Amino acid sequence: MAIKKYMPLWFLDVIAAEEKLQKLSAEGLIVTDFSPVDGVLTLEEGEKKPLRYRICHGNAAPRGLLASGWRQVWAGKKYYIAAHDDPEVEAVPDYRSWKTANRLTMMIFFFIFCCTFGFCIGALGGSDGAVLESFPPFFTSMMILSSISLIAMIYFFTVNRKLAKYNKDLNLTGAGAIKTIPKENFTYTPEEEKQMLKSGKMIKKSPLGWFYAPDDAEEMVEKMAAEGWRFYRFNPLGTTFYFIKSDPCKLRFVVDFQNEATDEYFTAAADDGWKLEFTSAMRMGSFIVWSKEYDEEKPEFYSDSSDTIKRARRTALIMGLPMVLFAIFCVVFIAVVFLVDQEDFYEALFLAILYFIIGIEYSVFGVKAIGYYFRIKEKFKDKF
Amino acid sequence: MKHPLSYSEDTRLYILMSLRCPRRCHGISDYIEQATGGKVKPGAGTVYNAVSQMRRRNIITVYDNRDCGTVYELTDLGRSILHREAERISRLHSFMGLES
Repeated sequence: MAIKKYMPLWFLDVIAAEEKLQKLSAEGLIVTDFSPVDGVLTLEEGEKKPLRYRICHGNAAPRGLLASGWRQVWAGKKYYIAAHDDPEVEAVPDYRSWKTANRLTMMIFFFIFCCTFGFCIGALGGSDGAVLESFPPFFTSMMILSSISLIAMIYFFTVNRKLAKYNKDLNLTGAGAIKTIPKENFTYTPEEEKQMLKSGKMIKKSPLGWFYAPDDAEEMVEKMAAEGWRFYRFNPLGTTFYFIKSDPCKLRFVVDFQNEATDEYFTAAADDGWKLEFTSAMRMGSFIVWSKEYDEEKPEFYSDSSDTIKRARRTALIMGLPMVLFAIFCVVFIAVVFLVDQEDFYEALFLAILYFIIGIEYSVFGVKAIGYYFRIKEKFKDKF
Repeated sequence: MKHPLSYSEDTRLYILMSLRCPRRCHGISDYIEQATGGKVKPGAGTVYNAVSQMRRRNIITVYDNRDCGTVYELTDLGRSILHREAERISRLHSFMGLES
């Protein structure tokens, strides 16, 4: 006879949900069906034996998993449940996908918190309590919302800490990670580096805004390697290149831009012999820098020209376009400063000069990134 | 001389061919290099992009992800696409009077 059990909001803590399934199996209740939306479990009576359960993302258990003693007990459109007879078996696949999903939810709550908390602070301080007096229910709801978001953020943070214990350390730097340069890239101690810089065996270069024209940076590093200055490492911000004196070598240097760099991406490149030099910790789009020494044929990270063009388009859209928009904003601001009747002319002039300088800087970077896209497009235009 | 591989569809077709057996991204690249006698060697970024896109379209699926590198294989949809492509190329060969 089928028995129904409820597991509401199971997705908030998937490890706890799996432990509950294990407890049920020890009591002789085996899962036969599951409704992920409302968390309704359909169970049948069977042998009293604790099973190891995994609730995973995906529409079916991978065949490789099934070949290793796991069996699929249920599969839906977004999730599947797999079980193993050994309750102590290693949790496979690991909880990386849940961690990513939680991180996204955490970001949404962070955004809500910033908006609501910012509003509350503004209402209290900026308007002498006018908002508080005019709309008390609105203000209260904002306060409640910001408190809920804060609690949710702390909750997801602790859940992610729990998930991280089960996840294998890739020893690579995934998206959203704070580290930007792998530890193994630092082959010299800071003291040795200082010595080398003093003695001229190491040099550093900081091309301004090289992120906006990555092809120029690639060319510069490859040329330096050919001249006997091998790329050593970046500074943690990725703005300074360190080179060490070495024999001239052939080095391919690639600056990639990914909307979401997954662990799979890092593994695929590392497997192919690319050395990770740098990854930016930006969540919405990451710069990832790879290098590879070669003897005869120059290796390509993107052998397909359409991928290279897509990468340049992504860089231009995410890095260049906002800069151009900021520059336009600066122009509009300068116009407003002079059109609106100003009491103090010199103050207006000072603001206009300030915004003019900022506008020039933004437009240089914006044009650089957009120029990079057109250069790449032109390079591949003859290839069909 | 290396094939320029500027035409995305080529890469997609080679990847479909390679995933008749489960493979990792690096394995895909090695298979293509071997199958084309070293004329085509897709880069890691190209293989990753193509595989991610095909996975989203349910053309390929994860065979195993227990270790750090995910292993992929063709879905039924992927197999039918590969079959259709093979037939199309074969017809093209016949039309041009070449041996298939």
